[in-house]
Amino acid sequence: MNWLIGYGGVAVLFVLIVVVLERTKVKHANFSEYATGGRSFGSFFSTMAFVNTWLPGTVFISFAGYAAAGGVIGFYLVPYSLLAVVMMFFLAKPVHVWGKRFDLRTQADLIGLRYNSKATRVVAAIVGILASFPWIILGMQSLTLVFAELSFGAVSASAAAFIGIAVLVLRQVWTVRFGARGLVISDMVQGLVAYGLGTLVILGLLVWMVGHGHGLSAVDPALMVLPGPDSAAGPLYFFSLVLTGTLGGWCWPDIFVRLFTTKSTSAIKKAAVTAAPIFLVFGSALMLLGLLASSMPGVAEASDTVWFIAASVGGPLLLTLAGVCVVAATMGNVGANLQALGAQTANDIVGVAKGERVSDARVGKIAVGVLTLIAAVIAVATAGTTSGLVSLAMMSYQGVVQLAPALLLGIFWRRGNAVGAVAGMVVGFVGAAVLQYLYPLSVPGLGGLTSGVVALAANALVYIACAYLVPASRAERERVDTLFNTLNEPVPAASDAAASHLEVKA
Amino acid sequence: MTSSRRRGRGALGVLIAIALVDAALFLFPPIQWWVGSQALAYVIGACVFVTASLFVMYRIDAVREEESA
Repeated sequence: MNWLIGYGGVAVLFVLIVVVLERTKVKHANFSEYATGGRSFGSFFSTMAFVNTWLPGTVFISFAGYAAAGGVIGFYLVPYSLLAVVMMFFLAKPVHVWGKRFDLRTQADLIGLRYNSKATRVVAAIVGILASFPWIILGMQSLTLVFAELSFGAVSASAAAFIGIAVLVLRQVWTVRFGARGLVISDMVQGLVAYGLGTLVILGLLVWMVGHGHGLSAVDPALMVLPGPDSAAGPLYFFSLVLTGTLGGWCWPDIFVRLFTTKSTSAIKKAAVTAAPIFLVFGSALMLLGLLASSMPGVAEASDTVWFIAASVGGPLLLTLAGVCVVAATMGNVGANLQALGAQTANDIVGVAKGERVSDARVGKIAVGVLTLIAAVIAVATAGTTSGLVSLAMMSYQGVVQLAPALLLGIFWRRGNAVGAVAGMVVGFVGAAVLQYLYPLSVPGLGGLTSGVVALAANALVYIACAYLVPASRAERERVDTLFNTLNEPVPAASDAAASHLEVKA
Repeated sequence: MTSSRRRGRGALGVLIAIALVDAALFLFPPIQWWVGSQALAYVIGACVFVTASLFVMYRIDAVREEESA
């Protein structure tokens, strides 16, 4: 009957989230409100929305497992998350001001405005969607382990896979209905469970482990160093992981759109400062748990199950809490991804094809619903064979970071142009895909540099070269200067955005 | 240039300098090669430093915004 405790815990979480959503729902005025939540959230909600989107459920599984199997290098999640928060500090003003002034709904929308180019906007949208989609499918499948563990042997692994997919698909009914506003509100609940309750569980387990012979002295010394000049991974491997995570993090459409849902620049900065200690405490504690648990029986053979092996010392109740934490984290990440990709499909592909700014929220709802169904079908069809999908997901991370030069340099540097943006993204994405396929760990002879970093270097060189070799017209230079000058002007009401001579090309 | 604008630019320079130090802590590989078996202390210590630096950045930025208002 332990499965009643396990599955009951998940059911309680699900009902809690649905009740909160139903009690806070509002009617969407238009597509923009559906995609951005009306740009109305303060720092508290924005913090939890950012954290719940940034940390997927697999942080308890594959990241903790990496710390258990690989040692200190597994902690790389924390440095790159904190450096991304530092970047958030500088991104806050331009992204919020432009977003509000020009009614930007998606990451690709901002790129389209910056370069005054439909081609750049569409290429960015496609890169973001292609890179993110494997992660949605993996997210749906990641609950297989959770529902298998929480069944306490009552359910097979294959049945657990279908249950996990079904739970996440059902949860998306409210993602489709309530859009970004619903996501931000539910992220608060899910975040408190995943990272608040999760941190308490982790701290308790750390105390237990230290008191039962699984302290730092029991960890294999080989796990306590980072890859150096004589290591198999290469001396630049840790650098590659942190750089890719820091820059790539802001290239995910669902992360970037969080900057549009916040009500002010100061609220974004306050959210950044509030998120950092959460990343530090939760992230470090979880990775430390993985590291200490490396000496527990069974972990070496199946490191991805470390979270459940550790939690099992507390019986069915603690194991249920551990599982609920994973479900809460996964719901936030999968939902945010689907909503962002649906909005981007509607706004930057359908809208551009039709030559009009999408205004009806139903277009977004249909797009999110269709993507959810496609992801569910693929998740079910590939439920028993995830190795290829994992490789695809790793490739996609190296691919999504190729948006960085066009996106991040474009926000801070006036000289970049549409030609460089498109050429750089294409060179980077294709290069990263080819290199990752040939060299899944790192590129030989380059000291541990990964495919994404090598492609990123080529991408940035192309972008910068085009900025100087393909100079923009005078009219375009003036337009860009005007765009950047708006950062020092008061932001008008959103209804005045259409009156600006600077608009996003539909 | 007025004195408040000069202070504003100076504050921005400090923010950028802090960010560069934060980045160097994790993106300058010789540091990672040098720490050796103290890698755990390095990672956690550097993460604490970056987190603290964000509070400093927030405070500097808040003062900068007040003075420019």
